[in-house]
Amino acid sequence: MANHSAFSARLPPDVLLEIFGISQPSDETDLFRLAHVCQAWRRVIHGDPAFWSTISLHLGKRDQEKKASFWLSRAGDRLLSIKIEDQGPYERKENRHNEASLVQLSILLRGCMGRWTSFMLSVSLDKVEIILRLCSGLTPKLTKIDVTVNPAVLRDTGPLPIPFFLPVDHGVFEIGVSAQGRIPKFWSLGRSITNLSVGSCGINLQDALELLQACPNLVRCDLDLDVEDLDRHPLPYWTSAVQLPHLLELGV
Amino acid sequence: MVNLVTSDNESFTVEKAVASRSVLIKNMLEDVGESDQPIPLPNVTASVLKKVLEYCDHHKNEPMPTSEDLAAEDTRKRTTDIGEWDQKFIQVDQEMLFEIILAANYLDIKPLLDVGCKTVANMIKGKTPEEIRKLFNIVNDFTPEEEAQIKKENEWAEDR
Repeated sequence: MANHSAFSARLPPDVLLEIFGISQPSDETDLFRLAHVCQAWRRVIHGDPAFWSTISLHLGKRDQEKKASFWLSRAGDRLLSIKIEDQGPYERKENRHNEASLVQLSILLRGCMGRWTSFMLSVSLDKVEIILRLCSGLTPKLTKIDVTVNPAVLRDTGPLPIPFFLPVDHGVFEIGVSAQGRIPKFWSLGRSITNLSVGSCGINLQDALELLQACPNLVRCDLDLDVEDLDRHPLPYWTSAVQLPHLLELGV
Repeated sequence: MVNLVTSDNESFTVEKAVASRSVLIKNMLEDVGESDQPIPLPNVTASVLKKVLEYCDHHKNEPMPTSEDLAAEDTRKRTTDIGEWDQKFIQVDQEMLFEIILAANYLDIKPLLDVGCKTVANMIKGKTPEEIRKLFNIVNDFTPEEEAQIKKENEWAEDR
């Protein structure tokens, strides 16, 4: 009888890698499924940084800072796609532990901001604030930002600072931004934002105008804003016109 | 015509266009120039080479993939689709499938390697580690410590 293991074991790592690449492990369940077959398969998967460059974290689960560290240690110097979701509010008794974990996680992610290409955050406001307060720095490779405050904040709490910056000598390139639940505020990154989609309730019109002023190279802009009563929040006398010379599509 | 000699000392005389589907043989032919010298293939048996040459003969008129094609092709974005003829061609037992993959890798026939890898990828799709081990008769060689680490990794992937 033919011993098939002799043949599958003889497949060189680059052929195994080819097979795993075609299998397209779409999520970590898939990735671990393949890595848990035998040592040879595990070595191939754990040794290829490409499989570890998308870091998908669920704040409702345990040890996400350890998970991020595990992924980062395998991702080498690959560009990274970061996705942080929260499937529900913390359990009260675990609040303290989770906040400590979140701080650890944020510090860990801050250490690799220079390699972020995509940053997706869909969590509650308190967690958004912790993460963005700690993850502040240069993001020269970032091309996609998706921040969703969940649930949406219904009253004006001011703009949400997105503290991602571009180096001074960095050329303008295309960044797509989606911000839902809070109006974002950008600094040096703004001039590279070409696609912007914002959905927010109870915002101050001045914050919206400042957002557009910070993004002068917008090509596509979709604003779904519920502006607060102008009588209560009149525009200051110095409000200036917003110039968007490259704008091709505007949805308001 | 080109004369190929397998590891079990069998000779195959084939058209140059067929043999040249293998980048390894193509380079060898270019290196030696016009010659009647047989080309030894010490890593391929006659039964496997026969099958490989069947593939090469069927695809002999197709353009060879250029280095640009290969560079542009991102493995991780490829589909598992296999052409109709290739699907029938690759319907072989597991031993032959792995031998074809190894031969395609050694002979540097990228499209054939692709067909073999896609077939294996389709075979493992959606299967549990245990099912994959059973399918390919792979021994679970993890130590208890590694099993414990694997259990922890599974917790990250599982739902709460």
